[in-house]
Amino acid sequence: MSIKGVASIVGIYEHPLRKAPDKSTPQLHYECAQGALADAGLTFDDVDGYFCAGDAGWFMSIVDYMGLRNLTYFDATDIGGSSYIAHLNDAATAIAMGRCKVALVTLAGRPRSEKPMPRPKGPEAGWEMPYGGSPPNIYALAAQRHMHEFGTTSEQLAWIKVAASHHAQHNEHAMLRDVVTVEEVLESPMIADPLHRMDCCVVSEGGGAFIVTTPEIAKSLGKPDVRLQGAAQAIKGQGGGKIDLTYSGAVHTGPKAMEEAGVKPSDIKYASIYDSFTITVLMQLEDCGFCEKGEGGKFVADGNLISGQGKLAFNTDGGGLCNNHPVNRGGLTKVLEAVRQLRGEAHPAVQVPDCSLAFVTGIGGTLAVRHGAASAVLERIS
Amino acid sequence: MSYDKIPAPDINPESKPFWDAAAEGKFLLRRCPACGEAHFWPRTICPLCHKADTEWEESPGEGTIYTWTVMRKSPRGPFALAYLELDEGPRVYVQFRPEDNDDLAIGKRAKIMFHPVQDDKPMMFAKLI
Repeated sequence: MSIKGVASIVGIYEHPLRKAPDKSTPQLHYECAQGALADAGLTFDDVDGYFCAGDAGWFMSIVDYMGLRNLTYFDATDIGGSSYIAHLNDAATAIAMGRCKVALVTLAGRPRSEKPMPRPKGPEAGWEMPYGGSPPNIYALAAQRHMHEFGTTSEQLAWIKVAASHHAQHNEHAMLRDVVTVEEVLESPMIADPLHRMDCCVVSEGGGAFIVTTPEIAKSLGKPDVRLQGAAQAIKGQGGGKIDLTYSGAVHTGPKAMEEAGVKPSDIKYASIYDSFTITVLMQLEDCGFCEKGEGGKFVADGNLISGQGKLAFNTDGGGLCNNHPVNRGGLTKVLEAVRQLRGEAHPAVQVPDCSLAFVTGIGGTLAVRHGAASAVLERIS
Repeated sequence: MSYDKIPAPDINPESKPFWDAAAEGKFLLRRCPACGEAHFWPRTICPLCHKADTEWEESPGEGTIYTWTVMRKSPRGPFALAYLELDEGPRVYVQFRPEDNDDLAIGKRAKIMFHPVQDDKPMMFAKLI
């Protein structure tokens, strides 16, 4: 049994705000949901499946707030910023089983205007929480080891930011629209060795949403049919101390999602790769099979990720590195830009010609401690 | 980084023996009698083979640095995080004492130590040896 072809994305919405001091977080979720439903030509009463993660707060409250009266299936699994790519998989699975027909997935929040909700304490809390480790330094641990094992350089990582900035210049909503050079990335302040400030994504507010439904309903709505052809998700932890930082959980999700779709990395025309940090992109490229393990640095160098210039256009909205990173969670916006590419609705300067096959992958949580990974293959069905 | 800005570790009935030993400067691991593997952080049921209750053992806490970073932008001042690969096997996520911030490198030898933090409770750190 496979989810190949059982579900389509028919509505997308990305909130234009990057700072929202005058709105509430539930309000942002609601606005994103409204935008995605309007794009699909559906209403709140059509929604019978709802998926969100911890940024939505207490699950039953956000459902009640938005007046979602007809839910027959829902899930609030939180694997950090990769949650929403897993939700796409979960929604399609539920649709395949007939548990729901129109699934809504939302993300929103205001990390610049309000304190983040405290994360529940895990059993490791005593040994980890007092240190105050945070994403920049924990991702840096993986970057440092990658450099040691494979000779990856800061210059190579910088190319990932350079490519994102080339794309962001065309996005009127992007937080950082200036094109940057490798030198500028290397000259930006060191945040956590070996990651510089420009190796790190932006902190933004806002959010986004998308709608997943059956191919039949998608057809009846007259929307371009963006079909989910493969998906996979995984968790990678410390393994009782056997943690190996040379790979991410995407090693278990990227190849599996492509196998389900019956495609190979060389078939992919556009890739949305969650870019919390430059190292996050490099490791996922290797782990998903776009290049050999350890060759990620060479793969991303010299503009290879720039649309129209390199072999693999990535994050053509500017990604988390330049556009936005709502609530420190970048998985949902990765789905949105992939759908835009497949619909031919990306900015003309970054639109991949005849983009029929896209790949989405994300790492949520912390790369070098414990994280979730989720990947998906999307295809435009004509 | 100053130790008085670091909160005391969260302690529960399962982890209490570790922190009681820490108060005496001793570093404990748990090892599984079924698979023979030591693991970290300590769990009563072996997270590797799932077959047996593990047993406490005292460790010198020595090993080599597997990876490291120094967080330069922090309200509590620069601090170093690392994975220390213990001679017993497990790679342990740990903060280094601030004196070592400028001297860290993969492969260097280091050792677990304890230092009082808030509420005068001992917290686990590492130092170069």
